[in-house]
Amino acid sequence: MTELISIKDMPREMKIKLLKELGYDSDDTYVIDEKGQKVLDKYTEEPVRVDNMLIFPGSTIVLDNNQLSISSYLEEYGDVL
Amino acid sequence: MEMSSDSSSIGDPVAGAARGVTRAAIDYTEEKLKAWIAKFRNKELAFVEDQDSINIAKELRTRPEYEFFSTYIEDRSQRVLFQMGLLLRELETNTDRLQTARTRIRNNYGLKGLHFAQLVQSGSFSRYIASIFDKFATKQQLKFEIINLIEKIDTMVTFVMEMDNVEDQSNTIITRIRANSPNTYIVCSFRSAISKCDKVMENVWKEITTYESEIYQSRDDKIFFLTKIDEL
Repeated sequence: MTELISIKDMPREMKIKLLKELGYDSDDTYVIDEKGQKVLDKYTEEPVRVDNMLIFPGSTIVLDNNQLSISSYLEEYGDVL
Repeated sequence: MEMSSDSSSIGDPVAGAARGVTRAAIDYTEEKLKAWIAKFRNKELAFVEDQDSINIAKELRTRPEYEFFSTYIEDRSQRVLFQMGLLLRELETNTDRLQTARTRIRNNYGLKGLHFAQLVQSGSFSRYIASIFDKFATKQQLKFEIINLIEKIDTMVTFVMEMDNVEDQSNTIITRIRANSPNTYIVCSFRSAISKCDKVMENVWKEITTYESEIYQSRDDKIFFLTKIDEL
């Protein structure tokens, strides 16, 4: 079972450091990719906010923290969390 | 669009499961971050906003209703939609989160998808399956019926609302039944709309004579399952 680390109370600068380590960045509000484009949630296509994001393994999937996206992830990857 | 979590504190059973998660304060240090990233790259770890959201999603997948549904339906979208219907049921006491979830479902699955989720939310889907369960000889036939309902939901289901016009709504139902001749037509109503629904169905029965109905009624809802007589 995958270990879950809550980043709810993680300092913002540390969240951005985390994103950079994983090949992403932030414009202060949204997660952006190496081209400077807002990262869109794979399942809802909503731009992902730094203060409401999930980062799942498996090609580093950055999602918006909502039930539809989480359920979609579990449906695609199985009960890995 | 403002993003917001539509999860936390959505119902006693689910919140109860979430409370079982350890909530020790996390000490965010550079060393810890490096260690977490290493584990993440090894696919051993995920970063989440809060564990409650994950627990809720996992719990919905263990519901007997979902487990039954998933034995018949392989389509991922339809399975997620079913889970969203269960989520809507949990959010009924939280108007803001309910509306956020409904909007997200509609944006991603259209009005038809939202209607199916609402059918699940109301319990009507499960009651419908219970009402037809003994009418099929094979699992495949039941599967086909379920898929048919999902795909044609807007021609097979009506939710009667308190503000509906009785004549308009009954004419809609009559027209749909005559045009599509579905094996089953479902008419749902909740709380203050139940009396309106009764009036709608009085009109429907005057015009539709080739169907018979089973009625499910509780304190909060009344559902008519109209079944074509020659299909029984």
